[in-house]
Amino acid sequence: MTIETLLILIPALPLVGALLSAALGPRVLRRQSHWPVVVAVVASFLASVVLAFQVQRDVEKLPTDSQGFERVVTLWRWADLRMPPSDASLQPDHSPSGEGTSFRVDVVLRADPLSAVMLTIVTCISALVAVYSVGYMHGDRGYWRFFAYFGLFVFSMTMLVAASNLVVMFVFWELVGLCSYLLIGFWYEKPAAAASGMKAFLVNRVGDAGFLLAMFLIWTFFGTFHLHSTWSDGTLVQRGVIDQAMTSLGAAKTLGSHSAPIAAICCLLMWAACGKSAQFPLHVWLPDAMEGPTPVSALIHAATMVTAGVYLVARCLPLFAACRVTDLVALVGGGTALLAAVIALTQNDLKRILAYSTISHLGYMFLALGTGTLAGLTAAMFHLATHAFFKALLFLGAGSVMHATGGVTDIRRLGGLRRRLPVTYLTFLIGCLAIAGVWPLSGFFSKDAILQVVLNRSASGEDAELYRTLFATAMFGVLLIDFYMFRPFFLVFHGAEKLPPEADGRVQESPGVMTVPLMILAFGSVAIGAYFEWTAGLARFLAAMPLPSRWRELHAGELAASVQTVPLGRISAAVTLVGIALAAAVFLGRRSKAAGLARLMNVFGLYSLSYGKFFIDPIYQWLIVRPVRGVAWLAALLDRWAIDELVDVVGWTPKWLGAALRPIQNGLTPFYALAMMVGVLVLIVMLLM
Amino acid sequence: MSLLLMIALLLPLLGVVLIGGGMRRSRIVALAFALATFAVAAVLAACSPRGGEPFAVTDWAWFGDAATLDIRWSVGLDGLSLWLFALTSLLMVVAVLVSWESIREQTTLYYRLLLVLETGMLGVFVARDIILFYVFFEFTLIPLFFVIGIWGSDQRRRAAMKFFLYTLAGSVLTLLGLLSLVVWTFYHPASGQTAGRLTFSIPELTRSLQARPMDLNVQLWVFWALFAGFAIKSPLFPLHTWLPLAHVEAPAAGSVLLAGVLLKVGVYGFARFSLPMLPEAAWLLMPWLLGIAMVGIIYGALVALAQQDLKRLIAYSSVSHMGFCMLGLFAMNPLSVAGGVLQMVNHGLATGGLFAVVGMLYERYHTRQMADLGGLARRMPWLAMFAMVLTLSSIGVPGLNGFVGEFLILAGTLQRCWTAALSGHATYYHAVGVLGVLGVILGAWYMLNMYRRVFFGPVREPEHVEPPVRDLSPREICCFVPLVVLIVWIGVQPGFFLDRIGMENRGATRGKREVQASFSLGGRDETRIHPSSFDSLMPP
Amino acid sequence: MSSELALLNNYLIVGAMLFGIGMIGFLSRRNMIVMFLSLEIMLQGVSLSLVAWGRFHNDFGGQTLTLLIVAVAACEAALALALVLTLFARRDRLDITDWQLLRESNQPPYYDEPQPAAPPVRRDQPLPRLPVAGVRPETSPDETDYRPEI
Repeated sequence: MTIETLLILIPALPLVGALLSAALGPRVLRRQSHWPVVVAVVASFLASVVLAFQVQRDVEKLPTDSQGFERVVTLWRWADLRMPPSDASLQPDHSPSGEGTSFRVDVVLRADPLSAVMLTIVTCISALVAVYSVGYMHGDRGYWRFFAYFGLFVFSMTMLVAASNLVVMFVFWELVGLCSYLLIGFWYEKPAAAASGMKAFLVNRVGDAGFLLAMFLIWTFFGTFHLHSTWSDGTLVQRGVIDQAMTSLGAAKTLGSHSAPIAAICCLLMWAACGKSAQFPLHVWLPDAMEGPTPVSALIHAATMVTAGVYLVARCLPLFAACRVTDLVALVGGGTALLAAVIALTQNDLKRILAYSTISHLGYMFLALGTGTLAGLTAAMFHLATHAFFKALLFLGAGSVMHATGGVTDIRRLGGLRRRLPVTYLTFLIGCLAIAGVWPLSGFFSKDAILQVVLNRSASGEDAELYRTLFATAMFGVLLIDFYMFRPFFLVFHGAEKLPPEADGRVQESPGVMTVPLMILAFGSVAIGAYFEWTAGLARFLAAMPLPSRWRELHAGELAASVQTVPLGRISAAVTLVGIALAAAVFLGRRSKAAGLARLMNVFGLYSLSYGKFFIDPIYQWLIVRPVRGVAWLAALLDRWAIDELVDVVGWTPKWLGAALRPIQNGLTPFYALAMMVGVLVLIVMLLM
Repeated sequence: MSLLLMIALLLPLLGVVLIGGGMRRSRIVALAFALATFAVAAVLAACSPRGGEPFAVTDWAWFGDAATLDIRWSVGLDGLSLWLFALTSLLMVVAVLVSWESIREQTTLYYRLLLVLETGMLGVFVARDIILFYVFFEFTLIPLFFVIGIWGSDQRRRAAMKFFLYTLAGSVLTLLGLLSLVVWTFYHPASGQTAGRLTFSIPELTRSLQARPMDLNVQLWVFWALFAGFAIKSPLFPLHTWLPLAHVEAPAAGSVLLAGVLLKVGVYGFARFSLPMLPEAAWLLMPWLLGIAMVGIIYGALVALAQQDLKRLIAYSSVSHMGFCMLGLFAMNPLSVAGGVLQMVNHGLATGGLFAVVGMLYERYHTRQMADLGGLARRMPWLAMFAMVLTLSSIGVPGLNGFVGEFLILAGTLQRCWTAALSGHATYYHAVGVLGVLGVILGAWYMLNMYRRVFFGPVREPEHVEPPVRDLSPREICCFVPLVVLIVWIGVQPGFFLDRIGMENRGATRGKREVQASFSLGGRDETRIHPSSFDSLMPP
Repeated sequence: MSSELALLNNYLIVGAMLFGIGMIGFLSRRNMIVMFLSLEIMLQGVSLSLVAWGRFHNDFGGQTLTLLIVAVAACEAALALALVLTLFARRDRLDITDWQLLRESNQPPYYDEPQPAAPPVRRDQPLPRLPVAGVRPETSPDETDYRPEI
């Protein structure tokens, strides 16, 4: 099959599956509602793999001086509005010709190395989670509904990744948010689930507002929504946003006249990425999103959707690098990584710990992107891939625990489950080791790559101090990972056996349909990092992305110059091992050690801060939500008692005027006669004058 | 084609004659005629040309003679009116279906009034003569006045009276404005126009007034006169307060039509008269108009956020959404204008549908208070599903129609704001642009909050309701299906609709004079702005 | 000043005086018959000036109009006196202020002195009762109940 066909099939299959599930689920398929979606998603995964190999094959055939590899398919024209040509005041400054530009949005899918990698990761995790869900969601009332949403999500996510046009990307950017909303609120009878879904949607909306503004700026200044230039038979049809921006920045050599809008665009895109990828200050929705079914948390809120922000920034990275918004990206990423890690230390809800760990790891990815180099991009995508595996594994493991214990996630109420849930125990352990970065598991290599690029970046160049600080932060964060991951691991699986009453004492291992995906994910968590690292496949593959040549040149040297001056791998491995050992020392023995540690932390108020999640939720509540509600209440009062009242006053005016004149109508004939006479006299006098 | 249009206009009147007998017969006849009109309108829409050129034009002498006073029976469709016309005929079907069970008294009169109203509303959109337009414009008031006043809820008379008087007061001034357009053209004919003839033809007036615009101060006076009627109808903040009252008191069908069609009449008036015929005034006032529309968006959203009554909430959301339509028109950017016109249709579909949802809830629970309801997704999955689609459309989720309109409007408005900001008052323009995006966020907030309270959470129903509350009947499902189909269609392939609106590529004749815009929000500096794309608003 | 003009002047002065006397009488008296007589005097004042003008212009228009006025006044007198008699029959009084029913509903009636108890109304010839102006007529429930929604 050609790349084009595959590219269409990958999103189309899950959509068809979702529609089939929705149409046939409630009446015909009932307990078998998962079949269309599972089959479609697995097929979509196979197509992605084939696509990736085809892209790989074509990339290797590329001449060395090429602009990169891409292949696009135009599906249909979404909208086409021509601007009047004579309207000078609306002409974008960078329109390629003097003609009026056209607001033309096509639904275009693209295959290039970046999207191929993302597609493969997304569909792979989706397929595994889909199979897992068959077991996890078994017997739920909304079984078909779950799989319909699931298919819709996979469709949206693959479209988001494959979209070549910012508008189309935004469409699916919001649609994945919608699917997330629907799936978080899947058990809508739970008020907490409904509220969390709404919160997730709204916080995402706040981020999306940034995306919208960025798009409008792009339209105003570049007159197109295509990130990459459009080619047709070797001739340039329209120059993409990145090319135009690089040209205008390159022409100016320094921060040119157009760097302010471009910087604004980048900041806004970063804001959008913060919303979707749950970075500070918009990270508050992700922990609450854990109200959804656990497979959803694994797929959407750990492995795929939340990485959309990383993907977006990666796509636009040349822009970010050109106007040096990368510093902001790195700062946000590094800061969030530390913040979330500290919060994760003290949480007691297994899924919430994993959620904060997700936020922290996404922060690492942004930190890598923040270096603004191709190596950084590669490291971020590398970590994205490995993180998708081990985080999905951990979530599904947590789901397996919940499945066995009747939905309990409080780690204080669980203990010593390793004998009862052996498979879950082993796979969870592998996940923990992978996320902690123990050699040779995947986390080790990807985390190492990130640390390496940050270290390289801090060696020289502007703002080197910032990156040095961020490197130290990242290193400290590595230590924290061990703590916050092994704490729940030891508490849940080791120690004395504690079974919650919800489980009815029937705690047993999950069925095969759930454990097999766990094992596959565990295998992936072990192997994928080493595979990518030792073959160096990912770096070569991603280097064939269509990137502006100027940026490519800028960083080509840097790639080569990344000489390992420090034995970074060994240091971080040592840090990891020390961390695990410390965690084991604290949490494996008697409990008092943990309490002592908490007291020690609380000397600086750290424990309370961490336990209270730095009080960001209440701060938002009091700074934004309540004031807006208050203003809304005031506005409603104003509307009722001022504006509407004013209208009524106008309406009553004739009535009042009439009432004022009523005494004249007193029924006395002489009075009427007098009035008449006076009137006539006045008339006469006026006539005579 | 023109014959089809005439048929569509007259079919409802034929229905009025044939309706009679009891409830069963009346409603079936009404449904049949609404469906037939819709079918004709659908055929017209399917055959419409791309590019928004006028078609299906009928032009007969009506009264007066062609030499001096020329009032004509002139009807036709073009890009601006086509989808509103189709929307009207569709919503009438929905309105009849919604009233099916809930109207039990004086059904004959009720369905007669509905069909009369349909002719009135269709007429507004097809009229190509100012007098004809005004007659239809006012005529829509009367049937709706009775529909609200007779079949409404507790405060129906007050609501009907307020609605009638408020809109009437505005439209009297509008009549004055419309006539002054005619009279000015009489005394100042453009070259190539026969002098000494009072023409009422809208295309002719537009051509003439664009070739030879009014004096600027006259334009401003006339603009405000037109503004009075259209802004009240739309409704623009702060002239909106009749709307919540009328919506709350009206029967479900009345709300559907009021929100779905009648609000559009005001916006349509702006797009048909104010902007193309008074281009310089519109340009000069643009900053103010943008500000008013923007305040309406934010204000409507905020007030909606504080509402407890479902109908009031949706009514205020209409204020907010119509603010978007006006924003798109007033920005006078080709994108935003096309978006504004499309957004009118979008709002009609989504909000019309939401009012139908509330009507069905009211029929079952006899309450509109959100506090009384909860968890209805469990009780009524079908209704919850349709309500979800309509809600999502209303908050502009991509893939559904609301997004297309909002996106185009905001893209065009921000383009306009940013280019205008280059020549001064940057803070103001930036604020207008950014607040528009804020309106989108607030929109999601109040709508989702409403949905969460009514459909999610544990089941909560008023106590006096007997337990087996049924889900939607096939009849009720039928009234949502076309709405949802269109919502998805416009969202997925807006090109089909935008091509036929074609606001962006009309022939270009621009105002000859450059306007010395004296926009003094806080300063005395005068900014020189080039008149721009109001020519895109030129009707046939 | 010619004698014609002087003559006209005299007539007009007399006419105006008659009109003024009548007007003052009409405004100041409350007896219905006297008011009516004052009205007639005003009418005669106008007639006199009409005749004078007619003579001044040497045509018969003024006199013709006057004849018409006299004829109409005769009819009017008959009607008015009949009305006055009817009113008198209802109240046994000729005071015009007894009849103030056309006042707005919330206006107090005017009495120039404390009123004695109203004399018994003779009911042998009942007139239809007019409602006070500005007040919604009372209708029996039977009239409205058959369409409660309107």
